[in-house]
Amino acid sequence: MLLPGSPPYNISKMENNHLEQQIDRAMNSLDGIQRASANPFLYTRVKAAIDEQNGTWAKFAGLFNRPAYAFTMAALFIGLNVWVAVNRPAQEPATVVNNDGEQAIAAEFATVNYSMSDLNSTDK
Amino acid sequence: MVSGEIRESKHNFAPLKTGASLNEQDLIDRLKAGDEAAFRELVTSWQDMVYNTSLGIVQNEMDAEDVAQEVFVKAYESIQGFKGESKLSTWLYRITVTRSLDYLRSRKRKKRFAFVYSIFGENNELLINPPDFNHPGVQSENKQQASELFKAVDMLPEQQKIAFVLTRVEGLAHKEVSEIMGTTVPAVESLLQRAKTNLKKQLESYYRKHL
Repeated sequence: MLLPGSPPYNISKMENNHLEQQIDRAMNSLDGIQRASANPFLYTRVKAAIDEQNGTWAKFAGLFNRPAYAFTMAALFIGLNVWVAVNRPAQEPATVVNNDGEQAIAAEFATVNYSMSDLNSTDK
Repeated sequence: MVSGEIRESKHNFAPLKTGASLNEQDLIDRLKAGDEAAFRELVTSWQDMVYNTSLGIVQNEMDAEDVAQEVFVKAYESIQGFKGESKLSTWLYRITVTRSLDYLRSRKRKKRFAFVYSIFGENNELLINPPDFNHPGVQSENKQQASELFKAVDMLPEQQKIAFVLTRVEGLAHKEVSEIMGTTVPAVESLLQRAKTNLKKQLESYYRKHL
């Protein structure tokens, strides 16, 4: 028994049949498909890409793009830093320069340099 | 071409036990020796196969060209490691599938950030709603339905998508697909069955909204 307002059974069935037909048409739409052709200049593009990759700088940069090399370099850098920190030569104690004698001589012979303004002020 | 039919290869290579033919072995040897003419032969012989497979997966002609280029660069770089246990075409198909999936993943990542770019007014090339894809090899009377089917294919899980594209777009036999995917024929059949069920669900949902 149909509920009030629901489409008649025949219409609903027709819609379902139409839907199934559409799905089947879509599912079979690749029948008879032809292979798509690539750009005829693909070889030129590939060759250019290979030549670019084989450039010296590109090779050098490419080396560091590889995780293995990047991690190795980082580990080497950190390792060297640690090695330098651990094996740093012991710091020599600060030497105390005894210059009492020199100071005494300087005082004795008045070898202290005065500026002109100092001399002028003493004159007054 | 009828679905599932084995498409004849352009190459007349007689298969050997190892999977590589005599002519193919000669080509491989020349490639390993760095012969440029051999590499040109490799590209020109298999470029349509690589491009068509990639086009079926990435569903964009420019992207498929980029992938095809990457595939041959990768083949050039890693030919020394090719042991001849499979056919050269199988090896190229594997590289193509891997590169195409990488491309799709990268595109998905970019899509996630597309919203952020748009906030900052970046004039990027990302397409949040890419236009409908029309495969150039589809018969003209089927263009509309094929476009709707490709939309549904794009929503399939990766393995189902690969099995479907290799079978229906490239026209490979289940055995060849299993060799490319590194699995068994029953596994490929199962993937195709699930793909078909999922596609029908997607299409039903689509047509209920649009009819």
